[in-house]
Amino acid sequence: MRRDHIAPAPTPTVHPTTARRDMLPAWLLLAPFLVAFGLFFFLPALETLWLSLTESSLTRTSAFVGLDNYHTLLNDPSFWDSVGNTFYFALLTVLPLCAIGLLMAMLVDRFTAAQGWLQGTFFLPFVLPISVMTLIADWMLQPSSGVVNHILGGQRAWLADPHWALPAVAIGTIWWTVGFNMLLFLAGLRNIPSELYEAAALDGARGFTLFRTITWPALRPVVSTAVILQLIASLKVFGQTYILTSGGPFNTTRVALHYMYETAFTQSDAGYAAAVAMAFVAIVIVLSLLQAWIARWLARRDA
Amino acid sequence: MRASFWSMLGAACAIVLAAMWAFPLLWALSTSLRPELETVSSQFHWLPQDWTLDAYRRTLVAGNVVRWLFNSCVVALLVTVVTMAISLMAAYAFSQLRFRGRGIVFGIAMLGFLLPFEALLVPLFRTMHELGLINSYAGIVLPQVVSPVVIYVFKQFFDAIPSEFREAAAMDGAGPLRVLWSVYLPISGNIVWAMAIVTFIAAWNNFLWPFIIVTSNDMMTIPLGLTQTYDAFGVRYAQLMAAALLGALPVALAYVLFQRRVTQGFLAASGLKG
Amino acid sequence: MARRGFPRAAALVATLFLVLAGVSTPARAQVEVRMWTLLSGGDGARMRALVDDFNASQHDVRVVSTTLKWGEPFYTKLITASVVGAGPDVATIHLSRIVNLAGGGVLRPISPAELAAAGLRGQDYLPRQWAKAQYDGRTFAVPLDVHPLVLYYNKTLAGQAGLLDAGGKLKPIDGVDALTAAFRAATERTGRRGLTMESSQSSYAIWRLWLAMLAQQNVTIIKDGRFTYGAAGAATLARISDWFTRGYAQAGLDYPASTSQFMGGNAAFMLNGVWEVPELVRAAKAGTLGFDYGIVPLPKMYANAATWADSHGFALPANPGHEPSPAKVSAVLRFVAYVSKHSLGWAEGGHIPAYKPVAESEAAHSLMPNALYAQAAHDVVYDPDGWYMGAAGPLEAIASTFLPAALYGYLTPAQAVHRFETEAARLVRKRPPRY
Repeated sequence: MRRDHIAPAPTPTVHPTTARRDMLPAWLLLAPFLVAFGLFFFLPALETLWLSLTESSLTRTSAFVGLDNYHTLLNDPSFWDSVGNTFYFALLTVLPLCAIGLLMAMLVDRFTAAQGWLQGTFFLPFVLPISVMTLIADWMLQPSSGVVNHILGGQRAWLADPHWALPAVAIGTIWWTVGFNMLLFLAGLRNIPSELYEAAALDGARGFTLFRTITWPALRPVVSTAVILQLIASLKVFGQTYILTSGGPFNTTRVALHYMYETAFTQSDAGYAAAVAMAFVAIVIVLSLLQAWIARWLARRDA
Repeated sequence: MRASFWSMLGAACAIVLAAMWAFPLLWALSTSLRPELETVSSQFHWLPQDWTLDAYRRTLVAGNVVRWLFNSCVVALLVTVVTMAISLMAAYAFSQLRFRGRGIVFGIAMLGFLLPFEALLVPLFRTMHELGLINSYAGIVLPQVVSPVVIYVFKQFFDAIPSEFREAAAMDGAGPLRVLWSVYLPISGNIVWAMAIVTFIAAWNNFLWPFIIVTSNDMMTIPLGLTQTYDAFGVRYAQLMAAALLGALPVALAYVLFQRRVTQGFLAASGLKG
Repeated sequence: MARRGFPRAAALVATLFLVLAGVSTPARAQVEVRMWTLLSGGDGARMRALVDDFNASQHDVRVVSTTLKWGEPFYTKLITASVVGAGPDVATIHLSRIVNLAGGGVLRPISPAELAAAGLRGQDYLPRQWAKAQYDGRTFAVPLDVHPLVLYYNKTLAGQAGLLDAGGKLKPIDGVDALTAAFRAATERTGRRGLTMESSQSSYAIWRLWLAMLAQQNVTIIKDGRFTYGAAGAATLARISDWFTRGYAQAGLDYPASTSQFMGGNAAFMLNGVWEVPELVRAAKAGTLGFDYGIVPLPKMYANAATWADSHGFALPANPGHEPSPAKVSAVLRFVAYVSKHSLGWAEGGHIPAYKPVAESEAAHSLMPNALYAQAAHDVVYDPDGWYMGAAGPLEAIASTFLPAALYGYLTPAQAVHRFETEAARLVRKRPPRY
């Protein structure tokens, strides 16, 4: 006789009968994902960890060397340079991306008549493949026939200039990805109840005051989420610098993941590259935890 | 009507920003419609003096652009279909089925958020070697079907479905699999569409993994192949821009046609309601 | 009736028998040889022509060639494919990579017997190049050519600078000061650049020139994991960057820009490899080259006249688990022998053939402009031996990152050398990888 157990909706308990009955279908349904996850994520992750403790070439794992790779890493100026470049890139992109994204969101929200077009124009670059962005950027930044130099004058080779290469890549990246932040902020803006605005308008508040007293406080959580998400995404930059500048000139645009790629594939030092990867992951995890902590702190403060 | 200062400033801002954002693609288009000599001539013109489709013709004939477009289509479609299938099944299991270890397995699956794909390049590369999948469609597709983000979105969606649906079906004697098929899937239309398009675009645009695993020109996807054009075409800017725009066309089209769903999908993926 | 039918039946049977006999004779098995090559452009076309000619000349072997992009990706793919047995049957490689590839277990040694079966002998090749194809006492490649760094000059501009002799050839230049003086004279008296050389980020010319100039001072680069050039390293780099800071050469030009500066008649001298020769020949023949050009081996700047060179060669990947059969090996070597014997066509690409019967033939001696620098083949310096060395290898990559910085003025020569050493230190101390 079947026993139907009506589980309470929010937190269903695992009723033994239901659990047993569900077990087989559950594992069946999960199987494809788990196989893929195991093969293409979990095992490689463990292998990266293991590799970082060995001296290995790209194709063959060799001697176990314990923490040697990490020791070398800590003393490797090239690694720290690349981390520095990565953070510099993040600095050049995170705040502008959030600020411009916010501005765009507010404009799209305000000018509802042109909304489709406006939103589309700002977001379209985000759906393009990276190589489209890099091809166009490279063309626009050409020293003698590029349009940027035509507008600004001069013959500067932007991507070959040690001081301007990374900023140039950053600007290209901003063009490419700001649409996503715009969407985030747009959703945030739309979640603000219009009664708040109406009430404040009745009190005589206009323009900037409205922004300061209503919009900004409501958006703060979204902004902090966006900043952290953007920071983590910026740290993972690789394609743009690899394609546009090959990490140059003089390694000024070689970011952490690029250094990892170089050690793995050009120098065939998979063990060291794995250590670089793990160090990088550690930094990302620290930042993610930081984000969670800040978000919680902000929520508590606003409560 | 009182045109407020902020309104006008806002409008000016909107126009300037929109112009700046549209400019690169429009400039690329303008470049692609001229003869090569004109692109590097010392006299600068905003619009082509000598309109021609030559660059597009040469791009489609030379290089392997058609083949790359085909590869990208195959790869992106496969990734999308497989990801949707396994993610729906997994999300349903996580959301609606009770089994021991559910929490732990879900937690491990979500670890995917934390670890960047880039850190796994070498072991993935070796795994593909052992499986004999270097330079193959399967090799390009398989690592991309693991998507904790998509599973998370689907799970959120399934969680939010009132339990009456499930109970009603259960009372009719349907087992969990049948419930998934006849109850949950049909109502997931919108969210599946949204995530499918987002996944398709991401798969289409993926550069790093195909870059690592593809070793022959014939198997390249568009983002990869386009970066090869630097050598293949020498320095011919009209042709490069034509290639870039051809490579952008499918995803741009997908966005324009499905703008709402794409927006919805990206927002869902970032955890906010669209 | 039966008797009249008999001859027809017999004929039918006979025909059937003959057909069956013909069919059942095993068809001559054609061996397919897969080749990977990184040769593109003019070199790629010439190799393709050689492959086509070979395929047309016989039907036992068919070579199918795939071209992969020049540089690190080619070697990475070759290594990773070969290690799992998925490599090609033969690959064109640079001999400067032998230590890396053979030492890493990527290549399969070729025995003297196998060579002899294809009609090839070590002594048929230029000794230096043959030695370069050996590792650990065994042969791992068959040399194809040697392509050194040479000095091209524009006769019109050089003449204006007073650097030509009565016969219109470049007067011999002896010593680095004399070379600098020549560049200065050309710059001052012609209003164009005295010298052009690729000097942008990731350019290799500076590494090659630096290597050559150090070799001319009898200075080595690396020994036992340590850098051995001492003060000469920075001093030599300083001499080179001097040419740029004084304006004899324009800094920051990448390879295409620098070559077209010479071809456009805007520089009196060009330091480049011999692979630009076919372009010059073509332009001269088409009448688009506005001047007469000459080529000389790299001048003797210090104690000797060594110049940098590298060589292409054919090598067989090890492909463990899928080792080539003896039939395959002999098919490969048959192709290689054909290319060696017909390497005069290859020489038209500017290269100096490594196969002595061709290199020392009348035809080769009279091939112009190759004859102008054929001398250079006898005094070449390769990249030092080391697993990290060789074309598109990691050390060259590091050198090409930092050394050009001195030409730019972004770093002083001493700083550039120092940063090169710092980054390369980890590399040269590491044990050679086994793939």
